[in-house]
Amino acid sequence: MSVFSSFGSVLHSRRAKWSLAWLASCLFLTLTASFLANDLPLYAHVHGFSYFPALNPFQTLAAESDGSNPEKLTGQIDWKNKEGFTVWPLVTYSPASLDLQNTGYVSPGGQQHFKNANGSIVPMPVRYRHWLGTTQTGNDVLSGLIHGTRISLCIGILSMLIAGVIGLVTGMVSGYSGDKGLRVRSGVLILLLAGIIPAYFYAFYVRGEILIQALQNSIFLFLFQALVSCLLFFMILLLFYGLGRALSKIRLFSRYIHVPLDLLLSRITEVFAALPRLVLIITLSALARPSLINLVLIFGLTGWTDIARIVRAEMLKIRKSDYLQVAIGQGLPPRRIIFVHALPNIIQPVLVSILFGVSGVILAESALSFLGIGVPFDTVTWGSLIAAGRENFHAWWLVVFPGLAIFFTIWSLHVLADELRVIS
Amino acid sequence: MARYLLKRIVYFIFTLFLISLVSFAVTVCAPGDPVDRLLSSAVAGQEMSSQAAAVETQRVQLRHQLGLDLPLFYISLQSAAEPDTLHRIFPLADRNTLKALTKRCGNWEKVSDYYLGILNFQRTLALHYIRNASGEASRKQKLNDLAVLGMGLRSTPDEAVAGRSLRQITEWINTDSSLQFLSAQVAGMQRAFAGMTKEPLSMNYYCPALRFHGENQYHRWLFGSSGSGKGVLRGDFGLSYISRQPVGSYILDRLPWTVCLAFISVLLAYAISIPLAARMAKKPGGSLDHRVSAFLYLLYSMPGFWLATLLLMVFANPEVLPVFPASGVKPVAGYPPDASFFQNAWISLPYLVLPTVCYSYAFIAVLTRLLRVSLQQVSGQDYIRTARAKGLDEKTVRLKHALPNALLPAVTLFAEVFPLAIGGSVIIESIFTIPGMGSGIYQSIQSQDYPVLVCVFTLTGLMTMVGYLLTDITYAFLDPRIRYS
Repeated sequence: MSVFSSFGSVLHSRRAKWSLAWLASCLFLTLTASFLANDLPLYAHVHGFSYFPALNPFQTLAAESDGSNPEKLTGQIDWKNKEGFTVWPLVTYSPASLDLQNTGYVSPGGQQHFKNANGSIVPMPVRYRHWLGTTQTGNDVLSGLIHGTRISLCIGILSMLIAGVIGLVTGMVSGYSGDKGLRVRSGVLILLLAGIIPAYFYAFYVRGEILIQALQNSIFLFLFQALVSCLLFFMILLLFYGLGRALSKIRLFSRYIHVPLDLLLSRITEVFAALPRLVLIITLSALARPSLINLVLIFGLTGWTDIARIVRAEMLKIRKSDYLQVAIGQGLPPRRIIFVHALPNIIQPVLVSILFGVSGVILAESALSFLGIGVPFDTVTWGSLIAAGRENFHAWWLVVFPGLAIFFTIWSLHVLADELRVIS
Repeated sequence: MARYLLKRIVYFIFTLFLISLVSFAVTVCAPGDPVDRLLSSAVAGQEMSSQAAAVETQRVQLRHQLGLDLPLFYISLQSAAEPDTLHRIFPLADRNTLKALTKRCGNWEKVSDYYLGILNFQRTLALHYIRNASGEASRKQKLNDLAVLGMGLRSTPDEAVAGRSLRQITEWINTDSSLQFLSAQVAGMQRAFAGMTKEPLSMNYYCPALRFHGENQYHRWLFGSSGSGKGVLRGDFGLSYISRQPVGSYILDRLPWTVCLAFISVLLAYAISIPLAARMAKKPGGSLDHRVSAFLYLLYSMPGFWLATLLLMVFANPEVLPVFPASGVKPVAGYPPDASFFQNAWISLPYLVLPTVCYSYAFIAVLTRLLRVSLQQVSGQDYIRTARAKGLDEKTVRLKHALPNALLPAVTLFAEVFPLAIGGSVIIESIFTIPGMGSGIYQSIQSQDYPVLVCVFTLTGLMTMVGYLLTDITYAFLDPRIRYS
C-alpha cells in the first residue's frame, strides 16, 4: 500500500507530472508504433472489398489477383495513388520505406515532392508530408523516431526486468539468510557439491551438440533447449539432494554446517560490479552478432549489481525491525515473511534503482547505435538517426529531434526516480 | 586496520583472478581462428598443391607456438570415452566430427583408426595429385571428386552418409584401373569404418571424466612460456591482428591523449563543482540553489554524443560559428619543427576545448549534486553547531569545518572515473577523431581486432579494481567507523 500512496504523492510535483506524461506517451508509442507510422493504410476499401493492409501486409487484392497485374502483392501496391477509400496511420511511412522523390535530406519545412498516379511529380499533399524531414536515402524521420521509441524502451525495460529479477533474488537471499541463516547437514552439502559435476556433464556437455545446433537455428529454439538443460541440471541436483538426505542418516555426516550465503553472494556481486561495464558491453557487442535480443541479455546480465546491493541493505535493515522479529517469532514460514512482510517495503528503493537503470540502458543503447555497434545496421534507432545527421550538418532535424527524444526520456526517468527516492 | 587491509587485498586478488577468467573467456570465444588472422597468406579453397601443404605446416607451427593445441584450462570435464588428447586435433570441424562419432560408437580407438584411415587416404591422394600434375583434365576431375568425398567423410558424423560416400569411393576405384594405387587405403578405411559401426558401446560415452592438465592455454596466457611470449601478467597481450604490433605498445602509443583529456576534465570538474556546491549550500532552498539544481539536472540527462554533435554543429561549422577546429588534436601540417612543449600545447588548445567540455559536463553535474547533498548533511551535524557557537565566522565554519568532511563521498566517485572515462572516450574520441585509446578501441571493433579489445578490457578491469581498493583504503583511513563494521 505504501507503493501506491507514494505514487499518488509523486504526482503533486509539476515536473513529475510532465515526466510521467512523457513516459506514458512513449509507452503508448511503443505499443502502437506499427499503427501510428506505417506505409500501408490501416483500412482500405477498393473495388467493393475491404482490406486491412497494415494488419495483414500479405493480403492480395481480389480484383487484381488474375495474375496479369504486377502489383499483386500488397507490399508492392502504390496505396497512396489507389482509387477508393483509405484510412491512413498518422504517419504514412515505415522507418525502412524509401521515398525516392524525397532523397538527399529534405528539411521539415522544405519543398517535398510526390509522384501521382499519372507518374508526374507534384508538390507533396499535406496528408503524406514528411513532418520531420527525411534522411539522405529518403527515410521518414518521424517514423524512425516513433519506431526508435519502441526499440529504446523495449531494450531498457526488458533488460532491467532481467536485472531486477536477478538483483531481487540475490539481494533477498543474501540479506534474509545472512551467513547463518542457511544450515544443511554435511552429507547433503557434500553430495550437492559432488552432484554439480555429473549434473553439468549430463545437462550441458552431453547435450552440447543439440544446444549448438539450436543456437545456429534460432535464439528461441536455443532458449528452449537451454531451459531443458537447466531443468535436467536441477533434477540431477535434486537426485543428489535426496541421496544426501539419506547419507545424513549416518551419524558421521549428520552434523549441521552453516553455508555463508551472504558472503558468497556479496563477493559475486562485487566482482560483477567491478567489471568495467561499458567496456564489457562494447567488447561483447563487438563479439556477438548484432541483434536486439543480445543487447537485452548483455545489459540485463551486467546491470543487476546495484539492485542486489540495495535489496540486501534494505533486507538487513528490515530484518532488525520489530515487526519482522515478531513475524519470525510467530513462526511464520519464510515464504510468507518474505513476500508479505519484507517485499512491499523493498519495492520502492528497487523501483528507484530500476528507473535509473532503464535510463542508463537507454543512454548506452543510443550511444552504441550512434557508433553502429551492437544494433543491426538496418534498424532505425534514435542513436542511428543522430549518426546519420552527423554526416551532414545542414540536416539539423536529424540531430535535434532524436536528441530531444533521448534527452526528455532520460530526464523524465531521472525526475521520477528522484521524486520516488525523496518520498521513501 | 591491518586486518581490514589484508581482507581487502585478498578480495582484490580474488576479483582480479575472476576478471582474468572473463578476459580469457572472451579471448577464447572470439570468432575466427587466430592462426588465420595472423597468417597473411591465406589459401583460397581446398586446392591440392605443394604450396597448400607448406602453408599447412606453417599453420601447425604457429598454432603450436601460440599454444592453441593445449587444453583450455587446468581441469576439464569430458566423457570417459573421449581421450585426453582431443584438444590436439585441428581443424575444429574435425574435432567436432570425432566427438560426435565417439558419442555414437563409444570406442575412441576405433574412431581414431577410422580418422587416421581417412587422413591416410587423403595424403596418398594429394601426393599422387602433385606428382602427376600434368595429367589430362578428366582424370584430374576424377581425383578432385575423390578429394571432395574424402573431405565429406571428414566432416560428417552421420554413419549413413559416411557409408554411402565410402561405397561410392570403392565403386570408383574398382571400376577405374588407374585408381588402383588407392585400393589399400580404401580397404583400410572400410575396415575401420566397419569396426567402428559394428558394435557400438555408446553407453561408454555417458560416463563423465574429470581431468587435470598442468600445461594449458590459460596458464600460458597468464604466465607466458619460453616460446609464446611473456604472458598477460607481464604485460604481453599478443599481437594486434591489424597492425601486427604488440598490443601493449599499441595501447601505450594511444594512451597519452586519452589520459591528458581525462585528467584535464577531472581537474576542471573538481575546480568548478567544489566552489559551486559550496555556494549553493550557503542558502539551501535559495533561488541560486534552485536554478543551478534544475540546470544540473538538465545537464545530467544530456547524452554525451548528442552534446558533442550539437557542439560540432554550432562551433565547428563554417556556416554558423567557426570558432573551433572540427577534428584532430593538432594542425594537419603538424607542429612547427622548433616549437617548445608549451607552444605545442598552445597550438593544440583550441582542438581540446570541445572534447573537454563533452568529457567534463556530466561529471560536473554528478559531482556538484553529490557535494551539495553531502554539504547539507554535514551542516546539520553537532560539530558545525559547536564551531558556530565558539564564535567562528561563517566562512571558516563552511570552508574549514564543513567542506573537508563533505568531500568524503567525492572520494568514492574517484574509483569510477577511469572506467567511465575509457568507455566515454570511445564515443567522444571517435566523434572528434582524437588519436587516443577510445578511437583505437573503435577501430579495433570495426576491424575485429580482438587482442586489443581483450587488453583494454583487462586493463580497465584492473584499473577499476585498483580504484576500488584505493578508495576503500583511503576511506578506512579517513573514516574510522568503516574499519570496525
